Amino acid sequence: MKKLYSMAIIAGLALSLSGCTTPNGSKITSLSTAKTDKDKDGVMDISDQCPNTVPGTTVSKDGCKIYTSVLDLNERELCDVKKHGVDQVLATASKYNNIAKEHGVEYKRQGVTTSGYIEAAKEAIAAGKTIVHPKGDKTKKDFTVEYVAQRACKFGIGALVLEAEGKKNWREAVPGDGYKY
Amino acid sequence: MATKKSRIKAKEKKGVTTAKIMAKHEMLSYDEAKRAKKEANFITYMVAKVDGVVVYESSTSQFLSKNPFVSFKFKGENKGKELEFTWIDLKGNKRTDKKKIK
Amino acid sequence: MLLKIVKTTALFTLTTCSLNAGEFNAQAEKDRLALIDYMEAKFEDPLKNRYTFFPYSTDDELENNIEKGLTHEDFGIGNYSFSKQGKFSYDQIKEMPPYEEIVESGEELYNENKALQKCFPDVTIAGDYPYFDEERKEVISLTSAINDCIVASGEKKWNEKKGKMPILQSYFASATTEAEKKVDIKITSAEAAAAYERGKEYYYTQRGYLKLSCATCHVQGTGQRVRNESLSPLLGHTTHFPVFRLKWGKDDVYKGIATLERRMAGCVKDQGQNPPKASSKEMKELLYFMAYMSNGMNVDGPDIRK
Repeated sequence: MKKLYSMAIIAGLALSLSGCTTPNGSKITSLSTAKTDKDKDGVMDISDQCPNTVPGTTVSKDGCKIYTSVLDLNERELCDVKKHGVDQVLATASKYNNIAKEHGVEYKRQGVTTSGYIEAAKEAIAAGKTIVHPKGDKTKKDFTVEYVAQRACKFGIGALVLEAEGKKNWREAVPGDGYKY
Repeated sequence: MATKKSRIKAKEKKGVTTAKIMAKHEMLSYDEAKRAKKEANFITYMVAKVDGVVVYESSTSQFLSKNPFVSFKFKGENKGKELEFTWIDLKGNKRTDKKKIK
Repeated sequence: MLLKIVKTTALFTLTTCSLNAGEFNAQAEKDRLALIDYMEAKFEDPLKNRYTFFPYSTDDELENNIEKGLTHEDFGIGNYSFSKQGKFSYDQIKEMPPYEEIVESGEELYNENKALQKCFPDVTIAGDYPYFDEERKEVISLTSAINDCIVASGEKKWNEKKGKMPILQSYFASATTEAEKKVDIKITSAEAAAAYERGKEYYYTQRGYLKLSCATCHVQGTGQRVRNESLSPLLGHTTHFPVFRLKWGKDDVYKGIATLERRMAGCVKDQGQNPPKASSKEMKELLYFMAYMSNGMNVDGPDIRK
């Protein structure tokens, strides 16, 4: 009885004296949140801003529901200039590219970012020109406004789709975490 | 025209001194100079001495490229002595630098 | 009796504490050791294992130009560790490396700046960065630490990729190399482990117009060629920074030296994506992950690369 009592005191003292708590004072059990993913959305609880996401939802880096329509978007149809006209396609491109920029996945090709393409196309339309020379373009080729609009739209949506897909299977490439050889 | 300092490394081990020297010079051959629209100028003579004794000497021409690097060895108990390296170029510029042998 | 209680308590506390601290880098250690195993297995005998590791290389190349039997420490010199032709040119230029005068300038910069001397009394620190700052809850890279110091002393921030920053860093790196220190990155909290995981995810996620991940080239692709370049391994990638790149330093030696941030940004651009800013969270966490992977290897900066 006495022994049990002293054991209890020791355990209590140890836990309270232990400097191994996280700075906000929570106990050793907080260690578990680094490794758990309660809502199984691929983002660990410690970085998950939306820890109760419905299972099966595709989420972005912060664990929150991504505009679910990204993977369902019909990029070919949305970026078709003949069908929607240059202005609408540019608007679609801007909309998705802004999300891509927020997520840090904006494309940059041959020295021109997607925003660069959008800006150049808008300038050309405002000036009434049909040939576009995006700023910083390394190829120094002539592009038509329609081509630039379509490219910007493809890049905007493509970046988000790649991000969503990449989130699902990046671990398969890590030796020690899924890569088999 | 201001000349740049040559980088000299000289170390002695078991009676043999190894010297590695990089002379800083544009070394423009006649063809290169024409393309760059500058005047041709390149090192034509290099000499290295220890205590007044010549340990390395070479006449060179357009074939050496920018910042030529030379490496050579010579015998003798030379630790602590100074290695003196001089180069002269086509226009008559001369540069001498010294470094103690380690 | 009381003494006994105190002793046992102390022992209990110590063991729980150490077990705790050890656990935070458990996954990181697992990744690092698995990476070493992978690299060593790959270069054990390239010709024999060609179908597993080198499906696109020719017999001639595997037999004559790729080294075999490489071990952990060998990978510190990047693709020169296994490319025989590359190693030959590398050895030649190391006889009189162009970065030596840059190290001397770095030393002058340090000696003239009192603030830097106060922030960094010990200059052999290149192997300890990046580290996770528990108070600020973020990764601090050497670049951001130097800039914090400069700004605190009242001057304008230095450019994080070129100019004075890499010159100073080459002095630190050279001092660390001479002191024969090793890369020693620590993960001592759950937040640090999470930052490491985010860096790891960034590294292994496919991105950009070309849909490449960093791993495509530098883990799975190590040893293979992209046009005329042999791809270097992740192992040992950060040990030799700041790096003198011959491509950048063609005309002026001082333009050739650059920081980790510059090189990583260049790589992300090659993938077809707009790179993250040099002092952004993503960049720093990426560097944290990459540096941890080279833990235990000799610091050998600055160094030369093509």
